[in-house]
Parts: sequence; structure tokens; C-alpha cells
Amino acid sequence: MNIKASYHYQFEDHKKSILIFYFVLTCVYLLMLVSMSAVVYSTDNGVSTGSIGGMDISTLIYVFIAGLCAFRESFGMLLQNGISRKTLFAGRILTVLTIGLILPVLDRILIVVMRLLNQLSGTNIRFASLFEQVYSLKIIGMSQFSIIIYSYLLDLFLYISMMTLGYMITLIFYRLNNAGRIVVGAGVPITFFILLPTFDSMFMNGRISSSLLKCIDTSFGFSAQQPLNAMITSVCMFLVCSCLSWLLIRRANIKG
Amino acid sequence: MQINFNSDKTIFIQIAEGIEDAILSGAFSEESQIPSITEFSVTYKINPATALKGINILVDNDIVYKKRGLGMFVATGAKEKLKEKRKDQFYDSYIVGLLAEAKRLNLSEEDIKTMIERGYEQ
Amino acid sequence: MNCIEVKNITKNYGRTCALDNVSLCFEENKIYGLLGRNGAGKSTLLNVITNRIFADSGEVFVDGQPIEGNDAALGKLYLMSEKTNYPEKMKVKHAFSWSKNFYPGFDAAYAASLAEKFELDTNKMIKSLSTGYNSIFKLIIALSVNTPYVLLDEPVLGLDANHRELFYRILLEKYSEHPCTIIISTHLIEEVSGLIENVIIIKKSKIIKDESCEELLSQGYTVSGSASNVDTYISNQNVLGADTIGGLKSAYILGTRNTEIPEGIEISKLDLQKLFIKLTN
Repeated sequence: MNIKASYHYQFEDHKKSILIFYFVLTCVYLLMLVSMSAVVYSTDNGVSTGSIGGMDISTLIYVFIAGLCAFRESFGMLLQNGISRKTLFAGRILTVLTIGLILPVLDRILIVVMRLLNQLSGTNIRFASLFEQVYSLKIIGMSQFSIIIYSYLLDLFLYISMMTLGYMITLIFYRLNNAGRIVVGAGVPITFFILLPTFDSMFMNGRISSSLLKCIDTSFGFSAQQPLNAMITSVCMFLVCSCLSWLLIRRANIKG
Repeated sequence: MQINFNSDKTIFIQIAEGIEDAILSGAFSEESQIPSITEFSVTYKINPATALKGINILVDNDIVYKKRGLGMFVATGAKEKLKEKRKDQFYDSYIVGLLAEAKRLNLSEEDIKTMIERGYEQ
Repeated sequence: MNCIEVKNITKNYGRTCALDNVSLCFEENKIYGLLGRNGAGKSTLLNVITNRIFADSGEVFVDGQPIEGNDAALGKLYLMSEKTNYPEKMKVKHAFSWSKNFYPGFDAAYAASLAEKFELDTNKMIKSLSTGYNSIFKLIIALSVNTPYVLLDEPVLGLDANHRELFYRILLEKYSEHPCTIIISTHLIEEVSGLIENVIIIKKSKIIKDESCEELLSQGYTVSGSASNVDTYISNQNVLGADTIGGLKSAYILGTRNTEIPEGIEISKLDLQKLFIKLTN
């Protein structure tokens, strides 16, 4: 199996956009910092607070979109170069895992740097990771080190699940014919955002929505302030999306 | 040497005869190297297997031989051999056709002989 | 035996049958011509062989190994097709260097020399190449990749006459020095008739001819002359077809030649393109 070449190519594909993403992100945060400190120094009372919470949400969104875009070009390129779908997929999983392992490290570094600059510039912006933002009660009494570890792990599992989710969605649309795409593309949002709520309020007294919300709450451990729930849910999502992606890719034809 | 794809003669025969003509005319002298299969193939846009077939006919008739690692060479005595062969074929290759055409044009035996004499005078 | 074995491949697109129980064997170190009219099934066949699309039934083996999920088998094939599967923002030179990653036998120096011969600017992005140069860059990769089996689907699409000539020269040079199996699928029958050793003709999803060029063309002959003379001669022959211009007629006959040739007609060999047209009409 030529996994090395398959992995090498798919990872290289992401490298450039990852660098661009972090560059842009850093510039945005620096800009915020600079503009905030300008405000601070121009007002008399000199104290201004702001907070950028859940910094890793940007990375989460980026990773989802990267997953969405990853399939098409790499599929054509790898099949052109004699790579089987099996090896392609193996390389894909390795790429996702690598990105999942590396990106949270970059996020941690970014937060540390921002906090340092914050102190130096005298502004009072609070930079918080997703973990700190969502599980704010849990972090009470935790050591700095534990917080970093939890943040890292939460990010890791969330990223790999979102990336695979995006990949799977693209695959679904790729495998569907035109009619199917319309049905799914329009049908799914309409069902979830219009039909379900309407049906729910008219006939079910809002029971569906409340049980759905309760489900999400438990899966991610929001109320219970238990990040472990979110991690487990993410891993399950990663596994499910990966399996479905494999089933979809193994009989996918090159089109055109 | 030309290859005519539309000719009734198969291509490998044309290759063989083309080389024979070149040997007879002295263009390829004895013990000199003839172009490689690749060169024939590329120049005339034909499959190397076809070129090889043509050359093999000459090898079988001891007209050319292969020097390992170097290529194909014209054999000593090839020119004489070819002359003999062509002499034998002369009647069938030229005379039969000539007489058939003469018949079509109603030329007599005398007419032909006169023309041949004229040819030798020039 | 080393070969690509296609066994009972059937492929349907909805109600249209693209390949109907096709079985073939492509032996090593031969140049094959895959001929067929538009829509006959040539591209589908090549795509099935390289596992880009899946047949409805049947199997493909490369040197005895099934291709399904098999990198070793797939790595022995390279298909150059009309569709460009390379990312359009990729530069040609990067397409070359990636080829080396995937095909260890890829000769980068040779590819660079070919790019020079064709005057291809390897710094260009693939999307900015003209149709002709798009074919050229893919051709260069196909010629440099050194796999035992090279499949070319309409290789000279968009190439001007000079580049076509250059391509055939390079192809024959390479084939002569490093024999491999080359399968050329093309409409330009006259151009390739000298190059190819074996001919495969697909007509409406079925294989109607699969033999050596020599065998195929020796199966019949052309009869030309005045229409009346020709008609007399062909009255009891197996006639494939005929072309008439004014009072002159050429008829294409399957069968062995008679030693006795009547007055007023000429016998000559079959022409591959003419034979193809008559067989696939």
C-alpha cells in the first residue's frame, strides 16, 4: 500500500491554507488588541475590558470548511496517480489525525502569545479557549496545566469530528445525482428548521425540541459541565462519519 | 527510401527491399552499419516489430548481420548475392509487366526490340 | 503471463449499454490501437480498466492480480485521458514532481527534456494551458512514468500537426528503447495505422475485432476499376462496402484473393481506415 504518498499529498494540500488561516487569525487578533489599546489610552479612566472567548471556534469552523473542500481535487489527483480508494482513505484518516494533533497546539500558542501581549500593552482583553468559555465552572480550581491539557484534548476531538463531517457531507453530495442533491440540500434544512419546529409546536407541544436540546446538552456535557461528554461524542461522530465516508468513497466513480 | 502505406506491398517487405536497394546502389557499403530498428521506426512512423520483421528477412538471407551491442551491419558479399537474386527476378519483375502493357497498346515484338536498342544507344 | 486481462465486463449507464460482456487481453510490450466510433465505449473501457469507474459485472486483472483496491496492480497502469484530474491551480512542474512521488519509475529528467522539445512552460498553472498544451503535459507524464502499461485516450487531442509528428516520433523512440504495453484509443486511424501492432474495434459496446493488424488486413482486399467490371467481379464475393466516384468503383472484399485477376480491375490491399468505416457503419 502506498499510504505514504497518499498521506503526503493530502497533508500538503492543507498545509498552505493552514498557514494562511493562522496568519490571518493572528493579524485579526493583533488588530483587535491594537484598536483596544488605542481606546484604552485615549479614554481617561483607562480601564476597558473585553473578551474574546472560544478563540478556537474560528479554527473549528476552518477545519469544517477544510473538510468540505478536501475531497474533490484530491480524489481526482490520487486516482489519476494509481492510488486505490482504500489507500486514499487511509491517507485521509492519517491527515485528519495529524491536523487534529497539530492545530490545537497552534491554538494554545496563539492564546499564550495573545495573553502576553495583552499584559504588555496594558489592555484588559480576556483571551479564552473554547474549553474555558464553555466549561467555565469546571475550570474553577484547575491548574493552568490541566486547563491547557483539557483545552487541547477538547479541540483535538472536536476538530477531527468536524473535519470528517465536512468530508462526509461533500461525499454525500458527490455521490448523489442532481435530483438527490436538491432533495438533500433543500430538504434537510427545511425539515429541521421549518417542518420539525412547526410540527413540534402544533402537535407535540414543543416536546421534540426540548428533548433534542436535552440530547445535545447531555452529549456535550453543557449543564453538567463535563467536557468528557463532548470528547466522547466527538470521537463517536468522527468514527461514524469516517465509516460512512468509507462506504461512500469505495464505490465512487470519477465523473466527467 | 520511401514507405508507401497505400502500396500493395506490405511494409516490412518495403523496408527489406529499400535496404536492398541501398546496398545495391552503394549507399550502404559492405561491413558498414545500417540504421537501427529505432531509427527506421521513428523515421517512417512504423511499429518497431514491423521494422524488425523486414530486417530479419535480410538476416535470414545473409544480407545483413547483427553485431552484439553495436547494431546491424551489411554482410560481405551481400551486394553480389542481391545482384544474383535481382537477376533471377528480373524477368518476372519487369519483362512480364512490360509485355502485358505492350500487348494492351498493340505494340509488336519488333516495336519492343527497337525501343530496347534505342535505350542502349542513349 | 504478463497482461491486462479484461473478463466479461459489462457497464450500463441507465438504459444505455456502454460495454456488453467485453473480454480482452492486452499482452506485454505491444502497441494496441483501440478503435471505435464516438460513443462506442472506448473511454468507458479504459476507465474501467484503471478502476476510475466501476463495471456492473466482470473483472479486470493486471498480471494476474485483480485491480480492486490493489495499489500494486493499479501502480502498473497509467491512463492519460481527456479529463484533467490534476488540480487546476497546480503548476506543471509540480504535477511532474508529484508524479515522481506516486510513480517511483518516473523519469524527471526525461520529462523536463520533453517539455523543452514541446516548448511547454512548466511554470504555468494547468488551468492556463490551451487544449493542446493540456494534452501535451499529460502526454509527457504518460511517456515519463515508465509503467508496464500505458493507456492513452485520444492522446493528440488539440495538438497541431508538428506536435503530433513529434509525439509519434517520441513514442516510437521510447517504445523501441524501453518496450512496454501501449494502448492508444483514437479517431485518427490513418495516423496510427503504421504504429499499431494489434487492433481492437469496438462497435456499439461490443468487440467486433481483436487481432493483429496484419491478420486483420490480410483478411480481404480492395478491388478497383470501372463500375461495371468491378460489379461483375464482386457479384459472388463477400463485400463489405464500396465507394463510387463517377464510373469508377472501389469495392472492399473479405476473403482470399484469386490468383487470376480479370482484365480491367486492380487488386490492392485493404486500408485500415476504410475497413474500419465499413465495419462500423
